[in-house]
Amino acid sequence: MRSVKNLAIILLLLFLVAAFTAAGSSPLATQDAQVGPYRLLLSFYSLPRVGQQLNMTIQSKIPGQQVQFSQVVLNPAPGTDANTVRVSINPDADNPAVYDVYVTPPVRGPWLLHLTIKGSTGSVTGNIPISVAGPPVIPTWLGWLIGLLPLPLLIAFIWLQVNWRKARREQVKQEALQKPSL
Amino acid sequence: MFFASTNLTPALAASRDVSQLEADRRESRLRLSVAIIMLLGVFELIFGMAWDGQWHAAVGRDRFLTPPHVMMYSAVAIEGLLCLGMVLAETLRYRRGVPGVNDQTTSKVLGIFHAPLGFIVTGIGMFLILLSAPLDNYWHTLYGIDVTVWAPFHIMALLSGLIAFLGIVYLFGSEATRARQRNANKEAERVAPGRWRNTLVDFLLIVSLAVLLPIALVTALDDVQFFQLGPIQFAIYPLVATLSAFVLVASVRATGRIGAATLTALIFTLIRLGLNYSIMPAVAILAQQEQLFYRASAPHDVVFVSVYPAFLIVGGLLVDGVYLLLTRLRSNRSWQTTAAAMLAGALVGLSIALLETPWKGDIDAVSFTSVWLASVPLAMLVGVCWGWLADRFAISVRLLDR
Repeated sequence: MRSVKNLAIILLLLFLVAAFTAAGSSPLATQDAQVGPYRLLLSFYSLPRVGQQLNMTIQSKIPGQQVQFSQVVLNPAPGTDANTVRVSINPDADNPAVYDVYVTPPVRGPWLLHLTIKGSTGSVTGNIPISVAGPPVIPTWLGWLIGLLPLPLLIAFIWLQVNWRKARREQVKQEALQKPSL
Repeated sequence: MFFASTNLTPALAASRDVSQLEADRRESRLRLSVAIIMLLGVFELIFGMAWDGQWHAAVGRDRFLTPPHVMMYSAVAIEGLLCLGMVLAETLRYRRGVPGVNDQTTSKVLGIFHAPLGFIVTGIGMFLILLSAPLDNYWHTLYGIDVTVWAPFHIMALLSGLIAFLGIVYLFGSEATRARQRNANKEAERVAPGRWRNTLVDFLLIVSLAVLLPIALVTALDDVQFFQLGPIQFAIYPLVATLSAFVLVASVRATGRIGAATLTALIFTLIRLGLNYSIMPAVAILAQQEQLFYRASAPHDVVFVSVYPAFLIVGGLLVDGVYLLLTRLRSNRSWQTTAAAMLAGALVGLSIALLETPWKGDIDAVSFTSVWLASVPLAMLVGVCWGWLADRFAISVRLLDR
C-alpha cells in the first residue's frame, strides 16, 4: 500500500517537472532585427539580465532561408563601461536553421550582439542591439551611507580605546603606588 | 605580590606562580601561532588586492570570481573563520576556567564572549570586507568595470580592511605587553628573561604595523589630484601619503625600540618591491591562460605601487633620529615624548612632500614647482596630526594585555 502511495507521489512530481519544463520551451520574448539584407528573429528563453546567463535562439525570419552565424561576440554599446564578452553559439540539435546562443552580460545597459551572417545573398557583419536589465538602482547617497558604515564603527572603537586607555593608565598608576607596600 | 594577596605558604605560592606563568606562556603561544597565520593571510590579501587593481586596469573586470578576487576573498574567509574559531574557543576556555584565560587576559564583548581584543576586531573587519563584496559586485554591474577606488563599496572594503589590520596590530601589541610583563616578573624573581621572545613579538608587531600602509595608501589612487585653497593649489597625494607618519611613529612608540621606524620602512619597501616585480607577471600568466586580451588603456606600471612611497626609509630614519635625540637628552616626560612624536610626524610629512611626486603627471614645470612648494607645509601639518595620533595609539597598544 505504501509503495503504491510513493509511486503516485513520484509520478505526480514527474508530471509537475514535465509541465514546468514544457512551459519553459516557449520564448519569454522575441525581437526582430535587420542585419544587412537579412531579417532575423531573436527568441529569448531567459531575459537579458546582468550576471545571469542569457539563453536565446537566433534564426532567419524568412521561412526556408538558410543562414549561418559566426564570429559572434557581445560588445558594450557606447555608454556601457565593460569589456567584450565571448558568446557561445551553436546550431540547434533539432533544427540546424536555428542557432542557440548563450552569453552572460556582466554590466547593465545597452550592448551590441556583433555577428557575421552568411546566406544566399552573401556575407555581412553587423550589430543587433540588446538591452541588459540590472538590479534595482539605489541612490548614490544611500550607497555612500552603507559604504561608510565601518567608519562610525572605527570611530566608536577609537573612542572606547581612549576611555579604556585612561582607565588602564589610572589602574597602572594605582598598582605602582601600591607596590612598595606589598 | 601573589603571596601578599593570598594566605598561602611561600612554597605553595611560588609553585602557583610558576604554574600561572606556564599557563600564561602556553596561552601566548596559542595566540601568537594563530596571529602569525593571520599575518601571512594579510600578505595574501595585500597581494590579491594589488593583483585585482592591476587586473581591473589591464584586462578588465569580466566577472566576480576573477583569480585575484578568489585569492583575496579566500584570505578574508580563512582569517574570518580563524577569528571566529578563536573567539568561540577562548570563550569556552574562559567559561571552563582554563588557566591563563581569565578576565586579565581576555576582553569581554556583548556580555557573552571573552577573547583577546585583536581577534574580535579583526573578525569584525573581515566580516565587513565579506559584506562589501556582493555590494561592490552590485555597484560594478550598475556602473561598469572602471569604477574608481573612491566608490562606496571600495571604501567600505578599505575601511573594513583597516579595522581588520588594526586588530592584528592589537594582537601582537597585547602579546608584546604580556611578554614584557612576564619578563618583568622573571626579573623580579631573578630568573633569566626570554629576551628573544620579546624581540620576535616586537618584530611581528612592526610587521603588522607596516602592512597597514599598503591598504591605507590605496586611497591615494584617485582621478582628482589637486585641490584649491584660495589662490593656492595643493597636491592631494602628499597629504594622503603622510599617513605613513602614523605607522612610523607608532612602530617606535609601541615597541619602545629605536630603529623600529627604519625597520618598518624597510619592510614596507620590500613589500613594494615584491609587488612591483610579481604583479605584472601574475596578470600576464593568468590573462594568457584565460585567453583574455589586454585593454588599450592597460597600464605599463603596477597601479597600486605607483602610490606607494619609494623613499619611506628616509622618513623612517628621521623618526628614529628624533627618538634617538630624545634618548640622548634623557627626557622622558609625557609632553616631551608627545612633542617628539609630532616633530617626527612633521619630518615624515616634509620628506614625503619633497621626495614623492607621483602626482606630477604632465603638468608644466612652473605649476609643478608652485604646487610642490605649497604642499610642503601642509604635509608637515598633517604629519604633526598623524604623529600625535600615533603617540596616543601606541600608548593604548603598550597598555593592552588582553
